[in-house]
Amino acid sequence: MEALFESLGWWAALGFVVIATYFWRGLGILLSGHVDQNSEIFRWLSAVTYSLVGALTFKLIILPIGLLSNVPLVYRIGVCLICIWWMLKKPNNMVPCLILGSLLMMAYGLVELFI
Amino acid sequence: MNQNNIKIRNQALINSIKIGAKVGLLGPGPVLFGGMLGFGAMGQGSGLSIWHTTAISFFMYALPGQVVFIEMMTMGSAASAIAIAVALTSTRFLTMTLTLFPQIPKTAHEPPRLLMVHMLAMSTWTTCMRDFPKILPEHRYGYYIGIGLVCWLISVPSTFLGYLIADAVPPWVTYALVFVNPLFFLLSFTEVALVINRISILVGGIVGTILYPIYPDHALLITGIVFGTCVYVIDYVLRKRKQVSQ
Repeated sequence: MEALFESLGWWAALGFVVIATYFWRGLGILLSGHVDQNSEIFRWLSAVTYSLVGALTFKLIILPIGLLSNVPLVYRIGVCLICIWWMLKKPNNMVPCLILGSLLMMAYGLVELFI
Repeated sequence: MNQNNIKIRNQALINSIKIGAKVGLLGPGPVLFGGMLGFGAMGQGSGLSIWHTTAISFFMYALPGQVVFIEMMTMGSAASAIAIAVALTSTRFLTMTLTLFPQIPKTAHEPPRLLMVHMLAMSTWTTCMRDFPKILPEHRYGYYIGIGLVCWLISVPSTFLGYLIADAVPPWVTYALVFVNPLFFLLSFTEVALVINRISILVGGIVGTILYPIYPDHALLITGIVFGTCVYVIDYVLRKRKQVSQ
């Protein structure tokens, strides 16, 4: 694999990661015909998936890499809690909540710029 | 099946694709637009060409894996390490597919699932999992294709645009662009119906955050499989006890 990377360069790297990503999607399709949505295995898979995507989401917010890591953790969590509170208070309110969250993050950036 | 039935079924599929596309344009689409703008800017900052960066969004279409790929490429990591890391971040697609597609009944001459599954991403999955219980099973595939297609098609030009405007956008705007994706996922979780799934999200989130600094490469997988299974087992035992007491 390393030799192929060396000789073909960047596009070979992309090819490998595209295959690595599609593999799970394709395998899921091939296996999905054998899973009944009312079965215990479906319930277990749902718990595993929600646990995994929950971990990924919390990681992106609490332990981010790049620019977001400049924003204090307390502020990031505070913005999330405000948006969740508004979302729970008024269901089907996704877009306004996202706009609020984005504005609060921009506000932090502006304050950081001027202080 | 006669011609008339095929015509009616195709029309129903097109109608549900249109409804899904509309939902995609109003909900996850703009969110993904923001997220991919941020990714385009990241590609520019990492020194990749605009075509390389856009090709990543087109062919991979999995934002966390894309970020890992660019970061590891920039750091000069070994090819095998990059492939393994991306494969690990993408394992969620297996269970996401296994939980979404069994809810869609198979029909003859439907668009090939092995092709359409490329459009499965967290944004599409969370929206479909939320809405499928309210949608007739025969309309779910079209609905999924509509949302998935809109989101995928948005991701490519927004990556391109993000790359182009990377230098023009002030950092305080970029804060919002990189934050909007995780916030969307988080807010989508508030609409998850089953209590067991809500508990799984919470447990996964807390345990994953603790494990990530210790096992950065495997934390997500361990959290999903081990702690998701723990939540399932507790739920199973409680349900059985309830059945016995009744």
